[in-house]
Amino acid sequence: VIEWIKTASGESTLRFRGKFLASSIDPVKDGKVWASRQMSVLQGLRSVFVLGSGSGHHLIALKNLRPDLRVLALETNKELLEATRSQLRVALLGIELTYAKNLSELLLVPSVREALRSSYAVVLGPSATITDPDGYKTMAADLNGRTPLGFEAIAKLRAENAAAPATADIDGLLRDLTA
Amino acid sequence: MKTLVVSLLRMGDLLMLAPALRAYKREHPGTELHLLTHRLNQPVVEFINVVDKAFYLDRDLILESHQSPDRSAFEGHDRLADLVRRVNRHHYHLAVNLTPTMVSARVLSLVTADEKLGLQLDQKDRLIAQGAWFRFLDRYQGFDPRHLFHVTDFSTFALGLRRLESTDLRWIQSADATVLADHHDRTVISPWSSDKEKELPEDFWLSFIREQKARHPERAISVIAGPDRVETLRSFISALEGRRVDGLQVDGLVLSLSELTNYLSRQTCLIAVDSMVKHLASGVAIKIFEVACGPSNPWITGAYREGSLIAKITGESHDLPTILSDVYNQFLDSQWLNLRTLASECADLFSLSRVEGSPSGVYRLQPLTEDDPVRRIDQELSREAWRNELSRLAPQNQTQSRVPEALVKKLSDDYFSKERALDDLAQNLVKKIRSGEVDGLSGPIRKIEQDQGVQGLLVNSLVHHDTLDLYALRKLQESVNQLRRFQIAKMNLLRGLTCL
Repeated sequence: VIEWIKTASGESTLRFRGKFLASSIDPVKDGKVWASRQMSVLQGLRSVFVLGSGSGHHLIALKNLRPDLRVLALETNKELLEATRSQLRVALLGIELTYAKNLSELLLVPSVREALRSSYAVVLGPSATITDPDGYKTMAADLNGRTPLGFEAIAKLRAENAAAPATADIDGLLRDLTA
Repeated sequence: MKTLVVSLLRMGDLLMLAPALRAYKREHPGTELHLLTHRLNQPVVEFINVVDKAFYLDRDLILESHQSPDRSAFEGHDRLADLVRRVNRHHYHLAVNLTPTMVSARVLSLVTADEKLGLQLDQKDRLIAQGAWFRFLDRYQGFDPRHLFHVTDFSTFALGLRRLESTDLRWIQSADATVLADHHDRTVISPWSSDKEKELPEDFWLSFIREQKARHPERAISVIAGPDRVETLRSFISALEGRRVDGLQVDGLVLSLSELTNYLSRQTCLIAVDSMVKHLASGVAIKIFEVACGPSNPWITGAYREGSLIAKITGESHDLPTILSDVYNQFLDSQWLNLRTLASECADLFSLSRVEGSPSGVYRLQPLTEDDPVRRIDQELSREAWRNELSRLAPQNQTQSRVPEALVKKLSDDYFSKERALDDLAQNLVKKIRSGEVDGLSGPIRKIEQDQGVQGLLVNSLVHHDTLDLYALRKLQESVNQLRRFQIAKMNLLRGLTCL
């Protein structure tokens, strides 16, 4: 079901159930294009959750563009995660790979909990719509705090962070700014 | 030592602030100057090149994240918390809020500094003015536009400076002489502003240009726009071409800030609405004819350049382009007497004022219809009286006074002893009411109101402080201003007797 295919550019890319998870011609270039599109959203943030680890080229490109950014790749398929992990550069660049099916499982992972306490964005990787579109859609909404369950869980996590500036004051500023 | 300035308005406001920031750097050479402003203002911050560090509030990113279901519900909060954290990594001996908004007041409240000046929030989330200068404005700033201060002067005093030097005001240096070197001695028109309400209809400018070309075909005209108005400029130029005026040749130019600076410094005159271009022009060597419309208030944001002419549009007429074209011609020829006549004849359409520097070093707008010597002396004295009061209220703003000190002190004591007595009375009443002694108080309060006018209003406002509405507050301020005008009149009289 999962296989590495050598592309015309010389790089290998993943094929999952007969579908390529990145470009079948030049996955490196493909990853760079994807990563550069995310930059405006990620400006000034500390962490990013990338849903779908895919062939890993997009994760490498993201880390190369923003070395200061903490990149957490979340994958709902164990075999796919292992395939991504086999990309040596993913590990060398400090990209964190996590397997989880839903928010409850994610909240058990210390690195995820830590990232949720700081500023972050959630982005869908290029493979997300191919491997598990519904699962990732729900996961994104939960992690973004756009579901009651997600909002409550993340707000609770953040309340444990004593080092943050007074939440009520910042909320007041946010309210005035968005009014 | 580090100072933080909070300015959360638009690009033009930041340009108006630039002279004060430069003066501050000159007066405090060992102090690091930091600025917190909107991300949109970054090009201006880089252009004015006076702050040591800038923090940017990404309002657009925050709004986007707030509204988009695909973004974290916590992102806006995180971005603001991060900004506050980064600002508070520095130890500021002074933080000054120069923006009269709730957002900037909140920002100042969140900043850690030894001393804070300007609007901020108290623990009960109420707006308070910190510092003598801001309290002075809060208490005495009237609704008569002549008693308002220009943004540049306001910022100067807010930063504790005495006055601006001419080098602070002419702060822009023309750098690259190669930009558009073949364009010079032109009339430059800047018809657009970031606030559409401050603009005139396209038809006005088309007719104005046609009128100019008909009378002075030799005059070259350029119409300029910022990179965000390329399409507007294109459509304007094609509309102009559609009018088929003989010999009409008008250039449309889209310029960056530095290109614009170089360009303006080589031209004859700028005709502009209340916009960033006009504020930029105030810093370079060019004549300015400002056409102020809609909410533009020349007393606060007029072209800060001595000798400029400001037409404040107050009425509508098909002849307006023709008349203002004539005004412009008279202005170019420095025919001030003719301008005065035009101002009187067209008082229902616009008012004309000349920008003048005052001996006190503050911006002054002189309406041409009120250009008689007696009135001018009176206004000068009035300004001087304000300065005296200012220097007394804010010791850091000490200025040379030509009024005998003892006289000023006597007048001030006279006024403030009345105020103190009133405060005492009010405090007693408040205490009584809070301790439940309400019965029988309404009669005396009403009597005080009737008998003592201003004092009565003050008492009433203090007693009903919790329910004080805007109308009551304005009424109160107006009353206090009445009292102040009386005081200023006395000072003027005494000045007239002792100094002139």
